Amino acid sequence: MIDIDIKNSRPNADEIEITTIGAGTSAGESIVVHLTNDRWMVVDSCMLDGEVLPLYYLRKREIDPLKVVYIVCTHWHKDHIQGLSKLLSECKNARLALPSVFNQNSVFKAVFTEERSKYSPIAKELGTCLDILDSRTDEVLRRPKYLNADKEVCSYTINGIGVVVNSLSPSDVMKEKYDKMLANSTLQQMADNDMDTNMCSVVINIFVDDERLNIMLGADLECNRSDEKALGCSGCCKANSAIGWCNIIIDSEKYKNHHIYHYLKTSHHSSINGYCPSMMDNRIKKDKTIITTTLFENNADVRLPQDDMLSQYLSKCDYYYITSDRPKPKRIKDGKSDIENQRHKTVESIKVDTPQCGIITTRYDVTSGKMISHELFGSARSVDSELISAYRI
Amino acid sequence: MKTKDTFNSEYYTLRRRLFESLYIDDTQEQQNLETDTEDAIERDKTLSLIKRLSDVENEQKETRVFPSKYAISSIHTSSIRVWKGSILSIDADSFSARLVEATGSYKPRVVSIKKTVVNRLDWADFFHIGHEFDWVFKDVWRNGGRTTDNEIRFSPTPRFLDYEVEKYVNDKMKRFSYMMTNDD
Repeated sequence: MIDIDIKNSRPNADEIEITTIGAGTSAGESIVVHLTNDRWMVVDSCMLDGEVLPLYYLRKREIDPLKVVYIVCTHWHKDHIQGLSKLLSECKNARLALPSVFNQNSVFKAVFTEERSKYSPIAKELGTCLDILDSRTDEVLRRPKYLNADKEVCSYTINGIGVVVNSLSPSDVMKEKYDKMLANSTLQQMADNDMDTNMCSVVINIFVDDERLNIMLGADLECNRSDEKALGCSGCCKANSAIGWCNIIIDSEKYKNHHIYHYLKTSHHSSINGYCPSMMDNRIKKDKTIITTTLFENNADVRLPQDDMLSQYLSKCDYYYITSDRPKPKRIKDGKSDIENQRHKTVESIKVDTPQCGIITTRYDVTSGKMISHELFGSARSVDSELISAYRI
Repeated sequence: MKTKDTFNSEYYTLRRRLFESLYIDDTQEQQNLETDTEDAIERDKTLSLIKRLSDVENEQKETRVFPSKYAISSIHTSSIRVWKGSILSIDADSFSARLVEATGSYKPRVVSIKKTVVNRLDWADFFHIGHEFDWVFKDVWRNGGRTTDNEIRFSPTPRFLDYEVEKYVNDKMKRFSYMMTNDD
């Protein structure tokens, strides 16, 4: 059972609050945003110990799920989609926003087919979400909103100051590419192949008038390059402007209108693939930007962020936070009971680690654009030299 | 009237004699039958006596007490009815399923089954629409005592027929066509 001591202090009407939630080694992330005036938005969903973490957070803060106006599914990877249907069923006033890539016959058909005929947790989760939407009576709420590059999600005015939520990706080209790829593959296989589905990720940008506040939530968007070229990819953006970060850097009008980012939830768990040098060099200010990231570990020994990327991101800003440190795996000792002896015959060794939930909450005043508070709960930690050296072991 | 102990003593003596006569080597038994028909007549008498004694003992059998104070030496089961099921919908506490009896002796039916019959650890893997399972009703024999039990066994993958999947997809595509527009 998760039990995190979260202070129950509600943001004021004129405050924007961003909460990055990480499920530790359970590999999942979610972001809960207060969009002023008790309107909330949830970006992605994840689970830990059977709890849908964004719902757990809302419950702990005594926030009514009916106050959630948007649920954004950035893309359909397991670590971003778990518990989405439960979240959608609880947040009855929330409109579901999906990447525009979803809005084509082939994807709908793949969802329904795999839901019925294959082992596809992704299709089942998406299919259940569609069923929930279909059961609604409100004509607007029962249709998904499809997000693509430079599309407005919603906008509000508070004290005469405009707050606009935009999506910066995916591009139309990605939609065609995805359609072609899906013809030779299944939704589940596409989801298992990180690159294809990550390139469809919706990147959310929250912008407050007059550059007061600029927030970027990077999802899992990647750069269109191989790892070898990681930190020196200048020049490839123009050639690959149709997809990934290159699309945002070169083609996005919304991005061009904005300048320094005050808050960045790094893309793809601060990995080398999600690192866009152009954006990091030009839009991140060392003493102004807060960067947050979540942990990702899977059974195939993939661990994000990679060791050296923690240092790389830390070199760009003074405030870098991670939702969980990498927990030290424990080895189960061999025992003498019959069951343990039987297990020993089959399994050489078993390691367990305790998934940890970490929450990073940052609150900004809309009028002044200044940060009011910054709090870490659960296993969330500040990234420093001590954490980096321990992380490498 | 004979006491229970007397019955037991006679019963087990006769049973041992029967066992010895039944499990004798086939060839030898054949020879014995050919040469000595009296043994066969004796065996028939023994069998009928055992049956009579067994009937009397069953009449006097005391109510069984659980848990048994004797160690279980053997268990065997026999299926008495098997339903083939397929999940149609899943609710909070139950799921509805279409059941077809394996031998075709009963008409197919749709039932609602409590979720608790399935191990909670298996929920994530098995509770999906279309997933198939066998619902087996069986007799379980332990040391000669019989109890009836039932068990739901889920198959590892759903097995919808191709035309069923096609029909499902076509229906869904029609129903959800209003979502495939981009009007805002």
